[in-house]
Amino acid sequence: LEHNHDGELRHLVEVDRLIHEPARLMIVAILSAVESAGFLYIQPEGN
Amino acid sequence: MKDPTNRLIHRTQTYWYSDGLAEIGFTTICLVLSAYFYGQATLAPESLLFRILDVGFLLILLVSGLVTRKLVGYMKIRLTYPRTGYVSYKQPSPAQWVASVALGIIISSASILLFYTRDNLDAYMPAISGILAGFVLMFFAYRSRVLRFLLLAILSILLGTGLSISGIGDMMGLSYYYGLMGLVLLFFGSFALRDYLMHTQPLEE
Repeated sequence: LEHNHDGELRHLVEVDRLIHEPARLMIVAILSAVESAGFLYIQPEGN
Repeated sequence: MKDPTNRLIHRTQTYWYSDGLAEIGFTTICLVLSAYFYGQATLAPESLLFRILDVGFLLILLVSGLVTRKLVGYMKIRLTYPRTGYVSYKQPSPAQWVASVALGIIISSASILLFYTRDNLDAYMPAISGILAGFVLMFFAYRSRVLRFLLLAILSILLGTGLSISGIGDMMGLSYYYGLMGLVLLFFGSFALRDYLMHTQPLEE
């Protein structure tokens, strides 16, 4: 259990903070599914 | 699908269908096909119009597809993008294009072969069309998780099978099938559009 906990913590430390800030993650998630998206479509998710 | 990130990706992938305009656009193709098969059923085989229709089937289908695409695009610019924003989807890769075209050629060739080699299949043409369209719609429903596509699939199968059982004939049956499917699509699309317009507002200047 202890070992698993350490592993999970290590994964969390490895998270890219630039992308995983919630608003940015939502924007990156949207853009991963499409070619392009306008500001009006993305805006509600960034708020 | 409980993960909010996956939910967001799914919502973006199915955004195209959120306003019902795709179904309303597809109504045009169904009504053109209905008129085409009505002409085939009622015109004399030696008439000029019948021959033009016979030869020009692919061209009619292609033109109605292009007109529908333009019409849906125009309505999205006027109604959808000012309310909930613009999204453009990734174009299929060359391999996906080749696979789609190959599948289309195989299905069309098999249908034509069946139609010309088995005389007794004529009466089942509406049922075959309804079942094929039903499977395509079911695949759509499975991929998009949009419930109304499943209802449309069931209606397509019931309608095609019912018309075949009624003994209305192959061409007239196909004309009725596409005409009625067009109206069903228009109804579902209008309902989805009404719901979309009620829950969204255009962006104020």
